[in-house]
Amino acid sequence: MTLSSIKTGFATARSHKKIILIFYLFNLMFALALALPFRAVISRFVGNSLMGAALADGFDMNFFFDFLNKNQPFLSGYMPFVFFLAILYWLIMQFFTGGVLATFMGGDKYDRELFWAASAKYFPRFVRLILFMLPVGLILLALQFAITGVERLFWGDDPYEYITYWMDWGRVALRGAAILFFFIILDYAKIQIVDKDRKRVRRALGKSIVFSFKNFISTFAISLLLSLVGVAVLFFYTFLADALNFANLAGIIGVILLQQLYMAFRMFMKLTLLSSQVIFFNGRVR
Amino acid sequence: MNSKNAVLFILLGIFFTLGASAKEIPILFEKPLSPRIANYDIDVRLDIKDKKIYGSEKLIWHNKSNDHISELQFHLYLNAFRNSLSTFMRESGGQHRGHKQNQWGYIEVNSMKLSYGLNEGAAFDLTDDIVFIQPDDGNQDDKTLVRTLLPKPVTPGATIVVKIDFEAKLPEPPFARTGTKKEYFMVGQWFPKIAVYRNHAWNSHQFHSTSEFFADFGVYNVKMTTPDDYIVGATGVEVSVVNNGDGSSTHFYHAEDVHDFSWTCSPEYLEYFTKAQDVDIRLLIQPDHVGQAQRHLDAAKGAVTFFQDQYGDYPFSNLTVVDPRRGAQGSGGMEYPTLITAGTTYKLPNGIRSLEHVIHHEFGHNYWYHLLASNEFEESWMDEGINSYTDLVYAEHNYQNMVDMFGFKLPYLTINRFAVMMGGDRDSIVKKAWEFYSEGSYGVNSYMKTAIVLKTLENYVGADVMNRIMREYVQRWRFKHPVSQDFFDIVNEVSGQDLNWFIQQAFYTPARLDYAIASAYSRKVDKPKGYDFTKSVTADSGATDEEISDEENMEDSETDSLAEDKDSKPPALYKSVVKVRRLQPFIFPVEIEIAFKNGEIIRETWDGDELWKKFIYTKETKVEYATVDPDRKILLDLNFTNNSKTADKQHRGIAKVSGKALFWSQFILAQPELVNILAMLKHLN
Repeated sequence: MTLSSIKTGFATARSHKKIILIFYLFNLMFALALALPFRAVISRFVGNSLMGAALADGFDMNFFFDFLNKNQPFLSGYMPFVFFLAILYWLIMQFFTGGVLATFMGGDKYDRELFWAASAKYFPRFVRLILFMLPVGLILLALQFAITGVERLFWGDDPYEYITYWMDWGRVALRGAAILFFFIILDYAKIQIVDKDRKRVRRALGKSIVFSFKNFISTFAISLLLSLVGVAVLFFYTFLADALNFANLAGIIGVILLQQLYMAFRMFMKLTLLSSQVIFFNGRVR
Repeated sequence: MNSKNAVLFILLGIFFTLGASAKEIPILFEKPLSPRIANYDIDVRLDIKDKKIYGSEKLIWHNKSNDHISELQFHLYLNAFRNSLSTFMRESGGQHRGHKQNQWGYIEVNSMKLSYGLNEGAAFDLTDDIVFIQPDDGNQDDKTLVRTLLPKPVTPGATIVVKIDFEAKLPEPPFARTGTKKEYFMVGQWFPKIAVYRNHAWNSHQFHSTSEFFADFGVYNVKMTTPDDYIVGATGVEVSVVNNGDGSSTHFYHAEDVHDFSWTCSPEYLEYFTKAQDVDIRLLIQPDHVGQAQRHLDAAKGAVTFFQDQYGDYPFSNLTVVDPRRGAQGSGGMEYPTLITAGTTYKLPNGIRSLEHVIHHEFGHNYWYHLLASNEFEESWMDEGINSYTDLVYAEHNYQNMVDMFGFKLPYLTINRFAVMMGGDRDSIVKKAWEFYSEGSYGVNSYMKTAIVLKTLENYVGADVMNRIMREYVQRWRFKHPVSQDFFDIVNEVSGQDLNWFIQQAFYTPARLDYAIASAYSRKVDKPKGYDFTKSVTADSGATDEEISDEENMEDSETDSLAEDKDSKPPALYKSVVKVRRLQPFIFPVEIEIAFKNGEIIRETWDGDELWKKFIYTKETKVEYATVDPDRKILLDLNFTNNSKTADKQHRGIAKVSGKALFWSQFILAQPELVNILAMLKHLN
């Protein structure tokens, strides 16, 4: 069921290229909003300097520290801007999720009116859902302290370093799993809302929690497997990008194209996750 | 046995007994290396339950001045941790290098008796005459310095014997380099220590949060009684270990020509040994870190070899390296004569060189702090700063990068530069430790800024000359408590130059240094126009040949086509202008390299005195770039990026950085849960 959901999910996502394009363009737009001011400052700071030439061949940490030292006013304004933009981006992605789920659940091809209408319709409910999810998130994140408890129970308040070391990695893993599971519950709650056009968000959340726990292995596996595919492709991209290394104009264009191909693939993976989850959900509930 | 044999037997017994006693305390140096002014015999017992040390010391002190000295002053450093009102605690806010203690520490003098002369005749009881003094800040609650008036002065050349019974409690966990945690003890600055008498007065200061220590050289004989199963490490050499039969053992250590004595003990230590040149190295390492034992030994060997090769002989035969316990990092990263404390974490990656750095840094102190013994209160740079400079030299010869992992490299030199960039402008380097603007300013000026200053000096005079300066400094001033001017005199003497212009700016002012290329451009030289020229001539106007200069119209004076004109036209001339500016007060002679598009490179020099300098060239080529300090010798320069200007925009570099910024912006926006990966990075160290 898990693998078949993923397989069908791939096919469904692939057949909705327009939605992939919407996701990709918004991702690119927000990233450009972050990168362009940064580029302007870099260009002004190092554009006519031998340091700029040196940057083409390798990263000079002296440049990094010079930049930090001489651009503090820019950075102190830029960081809050980054944070704000990241939040805004995430909210917009939540907005689009309504349209995506409605499209996948309808089983039809992309319909512009349906997509945007559903996005607008479900967005307020998704915002309420996110607020209700906060305590769930805190509980999930608190799970990592179970490891602290185990450590204290078996090794007291003065364990050997190797105990603390491996327990710390355990905490990292548990925290990662908790974050993944947070998003799983969130996604299935959204599916519940769209599927039954639920206005009672808390009820959808409750059902999602039950569904996610009842089908823990499958729901977790779907998310984890798709994440791992993303990581594997990232390594492949990094290898290729390092090989091209902005060596010359062709290299620069090559790397930028490769980056955008990779990001389009990431958006495709995002849609694949949602469609796989919808297919799995339908398979279980219907 | 007949009577003759009995006498022989008795005589032999006496001989061997006396011989054994005579051999009990070895003589490490036939000829004393130092004046041996303050000599201690200390006998203490460690109470591991109460974390206390009970003991007595016999101080044999020689008045090597020409003064009649009517009082004695002693440091009681452990009283810095007595309560929250001490000067140390007030200044530090209860934190030192990020560590705090939970249990206070102290030292109490229970009795102090004085005898004049070595024969220890009539003893004067000074106990009730002890008063606390606070010469630096008047803080009446600070008890780190005491004074006692003498019944009669100590005459020049005379010797006194002072017997002190004391009790010390160690802070817990180790704080500001000393203390205890569970079974682990690192015992530093733990006994009543006489101050230094020089320049007709006692040179003594309270224990500040930013100050370290200053004491006279001498011979130490120290007996420490600890539980049987405790492994002990200490300054000097181990003479004997006597099992007392009551579950305790007494460890006897002897050290000569040292000005401090510290010791450590723990039943958990694992011992490793190695040798570097003529120095025996003993490592006391925690079971947690035994996987890094070889790293410790290699680093210690590397440090000993480097320092002996670079700066001359380390006269002591041994070095102990101590690995602090978990939860006791407050005792790490510290130097004592022939004993240093390091510090690491479990599974520290090989690409993070903090362990190697701390070992060679702390061993380096055995030169600058131990052999030279400058005043760490008043001139902290002479120990910490010079040592940080030799760290840079060591790093250059060895590992270069403090971090070298996953393709990411962080050079040790760059870290120092960044610290100076961010914080080196509030104070001068030469300053009393507690008078800096902040602890941060003390740290930057005493350590990194001095390192960068001395490395800049090295680049200016040459590595070979700098090495001779350092070697001469060690040779001439070892065991003599040099002051700043002593070092500067050697700089001028060995370099053969008057470098006071550099010394004054670098050490006595907070002046910063920043030279920049303000502009570098080329403009075409127009043909001359106006009166005194027959016609207004430009290529665009289609002028005839005769109006072009003589050397241009030699062969083609008959033709009047523009194409032919072009072929015979003289090459265009460009006026290239390079403007160099001094953006900060520090004046330093600089080199400027100007490169032209035809491949020609010119190097100019400028004394850097004025606020700017212009270089103008008229050539048939344009300027390609100009750079000040092309060889990056002036490490004090605040900003390397403005050191150059190129005629053309460096699109490739900008595209690369911007492209990566765009990609990572896209990536992180799409995958916010990556924030967990940052947590993973934290666990690498």
